[in-house]
Amino acid sequence: MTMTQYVTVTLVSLLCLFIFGDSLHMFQLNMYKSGAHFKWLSRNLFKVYFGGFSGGKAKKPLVYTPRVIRMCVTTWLFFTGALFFIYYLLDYRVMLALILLAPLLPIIANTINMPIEKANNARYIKDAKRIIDSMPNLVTIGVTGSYGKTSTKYYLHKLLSAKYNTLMTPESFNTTMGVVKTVRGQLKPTHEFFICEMGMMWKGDIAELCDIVKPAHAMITSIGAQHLETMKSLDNIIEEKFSITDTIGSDGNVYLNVDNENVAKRAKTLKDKTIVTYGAKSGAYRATDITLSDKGTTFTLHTPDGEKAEFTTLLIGTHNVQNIVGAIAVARTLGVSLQEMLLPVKRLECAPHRLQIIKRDDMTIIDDSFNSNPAGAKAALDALKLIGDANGMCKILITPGMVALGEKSQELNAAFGNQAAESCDYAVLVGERQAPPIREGLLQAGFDKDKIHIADSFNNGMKFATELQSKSKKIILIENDLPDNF
Amino acid sequence: MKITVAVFFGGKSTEHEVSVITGLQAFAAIDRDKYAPIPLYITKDNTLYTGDAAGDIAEYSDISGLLNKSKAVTIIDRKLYEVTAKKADLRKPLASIDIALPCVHGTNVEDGALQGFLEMQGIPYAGCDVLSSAVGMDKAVQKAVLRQFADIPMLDCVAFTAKQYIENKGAVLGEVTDKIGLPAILKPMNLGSSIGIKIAKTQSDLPDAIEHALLFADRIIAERAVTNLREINCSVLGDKDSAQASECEEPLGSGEILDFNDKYKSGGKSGRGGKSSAKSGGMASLKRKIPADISPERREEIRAMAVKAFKALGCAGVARIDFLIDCDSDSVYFNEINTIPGSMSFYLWEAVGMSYPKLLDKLFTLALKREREKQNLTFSFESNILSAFKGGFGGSKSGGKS
Repeated sequence: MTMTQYVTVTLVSLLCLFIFGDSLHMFQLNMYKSGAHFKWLSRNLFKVYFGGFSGGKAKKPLVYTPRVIRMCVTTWLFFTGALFFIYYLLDYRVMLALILLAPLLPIIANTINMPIEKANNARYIKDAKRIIDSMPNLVTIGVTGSYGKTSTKYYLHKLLSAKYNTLMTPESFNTTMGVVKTVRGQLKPTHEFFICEMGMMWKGDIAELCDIVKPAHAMITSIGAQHLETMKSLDNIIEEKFSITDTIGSDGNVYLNVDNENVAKRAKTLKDKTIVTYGAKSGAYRATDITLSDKGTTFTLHTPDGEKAEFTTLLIGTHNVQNIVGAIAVARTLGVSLQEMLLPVKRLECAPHRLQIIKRDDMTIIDDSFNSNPAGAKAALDALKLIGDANGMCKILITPGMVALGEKSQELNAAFGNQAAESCDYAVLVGERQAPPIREGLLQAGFDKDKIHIADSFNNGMKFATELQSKSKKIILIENDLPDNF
Repeated sequence: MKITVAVFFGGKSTEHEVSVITGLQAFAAIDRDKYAPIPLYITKDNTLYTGDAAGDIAEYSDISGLLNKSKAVTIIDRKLYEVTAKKADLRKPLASIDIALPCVHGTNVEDGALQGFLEMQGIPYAGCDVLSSAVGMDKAVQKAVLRQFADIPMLDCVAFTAKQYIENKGAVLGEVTDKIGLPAILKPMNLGSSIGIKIAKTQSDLPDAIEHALLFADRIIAERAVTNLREINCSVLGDKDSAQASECEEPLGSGEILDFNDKYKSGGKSGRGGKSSAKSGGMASLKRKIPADISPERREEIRAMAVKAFKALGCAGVARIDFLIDCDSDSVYFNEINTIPGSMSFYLWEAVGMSYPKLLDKLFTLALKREREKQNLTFSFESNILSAFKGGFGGSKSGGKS
């Protein structure tokens, strides 16, 4: 082999590794779903082959889990074989094929490893089931919903903990393997209650989770147009969410947020279940006299038994009242008195990145980066306006818009822009895909086009907002800052 | 899955042996249907041992033989690991501890030391926390706290250090005779049982009594000695939110704890691994009278005072509070608190219909309650205030990759 050939082969292999690494990272964010990853690859062809060289820090970096390491090993074997080929044949077509194939390597490796991964997962799932079965007195509460489920889970955990030893799935762990990991790593024999957040991306996800944790009670916080891309229709989403009630027995409760139209409608046809409805406006457990300020929220809670109590919380936004009322409904029916809940409610903090207020010396930040649904976005805009106006601040919105909304994406993003026009002084739109409809919505509502800035990345958007000249103190709303795969 | 309870006993304390008895009684009485108890023997040099032998009282007549049969262990991240001179295998824990039951008595362990160790390990534990354990060990500090926060009758006291006495005997003697008078009782500040305690009836007895107490502690407390006295003890179970008092007892001898042979060996063999080790066999001995022979009004007065003192001292779990009755004036005084009473005062609870396994179950429930309360006050979301300086807001969005 000549020197030139030697160098070429080395360069090609390095290039492939770069491309592979990047693709592997996205594959992890796409939850190792070949279809979803393939779709992402086809949409981001440029990024796929050249993205690795652009540098920059990932928001959620690649995590070297055992699974990823196994994939790397398989890829390495595959890769060595290919290089071996090149070495002997010196066929440049093979080399080219290798470069083109590089982004697909994670998918190929994953497919080869599939039997190992499946066996591994099955072993973990079996172990989690064994642990759950060994605790016959453990009461599990399944919480699902298009939005509000993580916040409600956090609140419920605090309220139940006033009286019982309670475990919840941490952060937004809500996939099968996330729940399995929680059960295997954190569930202890001292726990009396387990609050399990159940996420859904594909049909059957919730049934699979129910089969593992066997919930005694179920809760649906809302149903909306989330994951339309994978679930095809709203009806599919409604049915999938309501499948959480399938395994609930006659002595279990089904908690439903009937402020949400989709939930309220489907609740009417739900048979043979003990239903406990709740909401900020309607429901057996409901709130009245809701008063909001930048200091927090006060409301009067009513129970179906005629009990009532005034609660105060530092959290803002009516959607939070909804979530708190839901948590109170569950805790009350499971034996915690309203009296016992007064202080825990007062001490509630918002879940991280969910309308979380961060007060800094130079500016206030409303971090709502995990909320990517229309109702949540509206609440966040309201909060921006409320707090910004109350303190005479310069209100800046930074957002890449909303994704995973399927066909309605354009329409909903435009509506979001429309609402944003009233709530902010400056709008910083991140990325190219959702920015045009939001911009359109803003302009339609009469927003000054000079106050719209389009940034190519979140960091640049943040930089723009930070450097923006303003006489008054700034308040920045970060709405839906998604990981890199969107 | 059963709840693993680690029973700690022994330790570097003058009450080492008594603690072994308290620990093994509790170990035997824990309800095996719900809990999986592990005996953890703390040697006099504070090394931890476990194993079947460590759970058997018969082995304690030969400590070095016992240690040979047992495993030396350490605790890391709530898990129990075996350690030998050569290695510590951190891959295979012997057990994961859910709750600790401190059954230790005396300075160096009961005074918050073991509690602090458990706090650092993050293990929920039964009984008083670090602060109340420490306050409960110090005879002068507990009186100061009670004087400040609860209206409970106590005998006046004078406290001084060894150095103060040695450098200026006259002043100390004068202060004791002026403020306390004679006869006076001299006690080491932080020792349990009756170790180091002497009564000075006359002026000339006083230096003797002080110097005797100084053999055991650097700080001494002097109180008026009640000559015509009765001792009445009452146990309290609960925490800062709610607490209840047990039956009252009147100890009639010197032993403050039930004799192990009476209680455990003869009456309780069947109890190993069973539910009821605690049938009142040896308890009916003449060493104590339960219930104490006092009027119902006096009984209620003492029980109410006990609960008040327990709460004011910030106690949790089960404690025993000792009172004195001055028969000449017919008045009751708070004497001292035992934050981990001998035999966990179970006999005082049996007298009001609560079995020992039930008492222990309540202690574990209280331990978990305190743990919850602590966690509810931990503001976990703001994990690193310093992170704000970097200006990063990204975070993990989806969890649970396998």
